[in-house]
Amino acid sequence: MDNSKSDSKLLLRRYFLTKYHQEPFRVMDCCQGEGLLWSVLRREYQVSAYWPMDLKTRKGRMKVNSARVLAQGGWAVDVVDVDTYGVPWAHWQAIVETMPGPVTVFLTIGSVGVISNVDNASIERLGIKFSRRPVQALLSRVSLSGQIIDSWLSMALDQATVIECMEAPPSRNSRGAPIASYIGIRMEPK
Amino acid sequence: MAEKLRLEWVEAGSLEDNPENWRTHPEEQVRAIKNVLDDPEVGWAGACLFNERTRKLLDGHARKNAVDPKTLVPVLIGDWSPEAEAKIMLTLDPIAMMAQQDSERMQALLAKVPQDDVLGLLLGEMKPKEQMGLMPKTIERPPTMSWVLVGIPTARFAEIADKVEEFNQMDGVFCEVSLSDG
Repeated sequence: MDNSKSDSKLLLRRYFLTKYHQEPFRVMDCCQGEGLLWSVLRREYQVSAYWPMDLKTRKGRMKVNSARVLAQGGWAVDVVDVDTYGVPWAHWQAIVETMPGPVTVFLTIGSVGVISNVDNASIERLGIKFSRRPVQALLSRVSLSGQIIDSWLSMALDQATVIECMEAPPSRNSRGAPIASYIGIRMEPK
Repeated sequence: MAEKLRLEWVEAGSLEDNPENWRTHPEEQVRAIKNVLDDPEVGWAGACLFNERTRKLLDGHARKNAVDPKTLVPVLIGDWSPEAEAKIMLTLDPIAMMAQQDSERMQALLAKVPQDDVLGLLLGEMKPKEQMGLMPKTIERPPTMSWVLVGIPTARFAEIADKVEEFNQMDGVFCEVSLSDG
């Protein structure tokens, strides 16, 4: 685990867990990967239930599309961690639309800055619809990451009250350009 | 048994780490310990544990390593056999971790202390959130955008270049140009 990335991620999670989760809490780890983040956090906090998920098979976790699990509703956890290499928007949309109660959400947003391959859902969300198809090539030169992140996060405003939103220092490449954003949100349904 | 333990103040540097100590202490924990010890309202609120028969430290490694070696630290000194010492080291912390939680009483305690103080002590730095690297983020709806795709023969691009630059200078407007080879 890259130290700079893990420091930022842990800093963000410790802040919210210390502030909002003094009692034992349940966690859905949507993109568990190597499981290093929560192996550390479970030693520090009272995690009463931990559900690891990933698209890749690994012993001890569910191989499942966690965005679809969230979209179905009925999930009962206090913390949802979406530490993905790509973009977390499918998960985020599902959480906003189906959250049963107050929840703390951690989002890792990869591919910030100048986007080389904007996902179609984000393009649609920004309202970019052309009948001609050179748009993708044009977007690769335009920094839309801030707009995209704000557009998706603002989805919560219709259905939830945002208690607090914090951003941890982004991870950067060798040239110092940001390559991933880390955001934590505490919210409850309206 | 009543006289088994006595309290002394000992230089931290004179207490060697016990090679059989099975607890490890991450940097964040040591920082949090240091913060509590340095808090003028708190300081030392417990003592290390030392076995004078074996001359080994049983508990308090993180605390004594968090301070200058010349610092006098409180040490409870007892006399145990090596077997008893092993039992103590194996059960002291695990028994403490078996404690559960009375949320109402915890909330009542939290109401007595500013939450930022508690967070600062636990997270290892008595700094505002911004200096810890975390920045508050306001969630707002971005402006609704209109997107204009303008195609113009490359040979005529110079006719509109100034206008494109004018658009580019407008606040909130994204403007990119791509030249096709054909």
